[in-house]
Amino acid sequence: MTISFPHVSYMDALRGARAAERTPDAGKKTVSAAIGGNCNADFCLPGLKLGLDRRGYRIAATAHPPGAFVPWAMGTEERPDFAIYWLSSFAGSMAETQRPDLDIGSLAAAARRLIAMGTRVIVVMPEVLRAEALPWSPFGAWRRALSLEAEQALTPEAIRIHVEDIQIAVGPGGWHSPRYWASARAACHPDGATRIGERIAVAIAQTIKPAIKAVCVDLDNTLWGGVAGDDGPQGLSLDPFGEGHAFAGMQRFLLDLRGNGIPLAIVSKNDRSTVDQIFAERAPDLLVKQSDFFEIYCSWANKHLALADFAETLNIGLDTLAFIDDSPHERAEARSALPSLVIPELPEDPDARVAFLASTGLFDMPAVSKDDAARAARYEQDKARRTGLKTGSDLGSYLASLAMVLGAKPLNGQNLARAVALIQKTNQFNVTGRRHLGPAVEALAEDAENYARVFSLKDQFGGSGEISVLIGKRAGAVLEIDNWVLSCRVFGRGVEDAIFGDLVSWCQARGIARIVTEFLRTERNGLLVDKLAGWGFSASGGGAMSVETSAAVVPKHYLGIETGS
Amino acid sequence: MLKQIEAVLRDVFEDQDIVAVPELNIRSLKNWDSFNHVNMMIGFEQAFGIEIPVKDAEAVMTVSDVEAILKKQGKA
Repeated sequence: MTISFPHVSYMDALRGARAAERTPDAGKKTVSAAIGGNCNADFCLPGLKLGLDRRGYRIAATAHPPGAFVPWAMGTEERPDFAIYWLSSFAGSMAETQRPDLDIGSLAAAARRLIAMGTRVIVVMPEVLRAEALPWSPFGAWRRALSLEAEQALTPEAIRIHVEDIQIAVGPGGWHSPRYWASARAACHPDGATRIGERIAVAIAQTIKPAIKAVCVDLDNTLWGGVAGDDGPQGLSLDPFGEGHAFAGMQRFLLDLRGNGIPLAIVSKNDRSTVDQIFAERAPDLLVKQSDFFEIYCSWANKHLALADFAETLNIGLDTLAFIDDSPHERAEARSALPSLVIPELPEDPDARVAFLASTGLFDMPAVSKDDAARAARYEQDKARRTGLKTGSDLGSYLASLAMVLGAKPLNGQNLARAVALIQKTNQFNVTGRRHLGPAVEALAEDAENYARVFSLKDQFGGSGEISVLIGKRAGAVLEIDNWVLSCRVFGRGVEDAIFGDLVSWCQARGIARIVTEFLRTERNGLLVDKLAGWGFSASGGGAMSVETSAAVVPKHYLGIETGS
Repeated sequence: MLKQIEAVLRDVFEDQDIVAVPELNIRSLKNWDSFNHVNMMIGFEQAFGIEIPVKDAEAVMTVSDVEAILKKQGKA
């Protein structure tokens, strides 16, 4: 998998985006978007289109002229998947000629309205002005006040795109181009707008489906400077004021990922006792603790064994696991055994590594929900459950001991974002393989004839949050499963049986005689084949399976069900 | 120079049959609109390493107008 793309000029992006549009889409998903701003946002479209194409998406974008976006957003019944607003300080100041009070309140209200309709809102935040080269320019104070007001007025759900680092990267000469303001109301040089488009593409791709779900990291010369076995605990570089600062930076980068819910593991060729000794003796100098790592693999065996084990333990695909190791040899070994693993070609210079990893966009989390942030802790709970299963005498009494409670709630505005995230992310247990975005899901849920529920799970170890979405479309005496996803973390505890039971009861209460579903066998959903057969489904032609509700088999499970509104 | 101008025109207006001759009226090309006019100027700026003032850019009608801009900037 390609994990980093060079920045391109506006003209190259224009050529690339047009070439991509002429090529058949090869299964690429199309997202819809409305784009506008207080400047001409058209110039970021080529970078946005090319950036999305590189990440496997197409975009159907409707561009609004400068100033037209907010009135559109306040009145529209359209529900694009994404709405993008470019709030430029250059445009807001009429090319640094005025310092008006901009109507940020209306922008924030428009964003809230779109978000409530299921659209994800992205706002490009105010940029540094050329006038600020004069350090005490009143334009500086005006722009900072504008940035702060926008930051505070926008709801947390709005994804902010900051551009100051792009301005630094292209330099003042590459950014400020008043001739494009005069000819086309562009806020900056089109090459700068292309960088913004690329960044929006990463935000959209990462919002739909994060590229990375977990990270494995090497120790020697990656997490700390030096080789544990040769240099000993005291010989390792960990001093943030000296050679160790690059390694401390890597630790901070990983800890921040963990804070966003990405579980970490150590994969090291070392004796475990050596590693334990270092974590004990150098604890004051290490930002990370052993307990920050979900698994610690210390062994002299080929690393791909541990990497594969970690992916299996978390029940995630290898293509969502990143392996960070300074050794080209170890990377090559892992790549040859596990080709789909994400293996960044880490720069040799330790100082360049974190910046390189950040530049790939793979680890970007444009919007971190509370649920995301709690994920790492939930993986720990799962580990405790598995340990219980290994030591428990029989499965039934173990499952009963968990005291599981399944929460069933109607799909509505309150859980829509999480429901869409689950639909986008779930591969193994995804019955129809459809991947609707917010507006399509909400439309299905709003029809009172349909079954549309979001399920959460809790047990004696804690809450797992929302773990399943099931949407069924009713047509007379038949219910068609439009979408059913279940987080693979909870699979195998009878949760799917309890949910199926809920669906069957709901159907029987309404005189629905048959449940049908499309089922497309993929490389990753094999576990569903046995499940559907076990519930009584049989092939009914054209890739569909169905079961009479009177003949449906709901296996014994150990979950209590709480229904809510 | 006409070849370089032609390459930009073909790129921006997505037509490989365009032949750049001095009298060619750019604004009569199939895909011409004000946005592609700006795209064309960005293309000339990148291809020739110059900055084209707004007044000059907006006055461009024909290929010979483009040649005149390049000449003024010492590119021809």
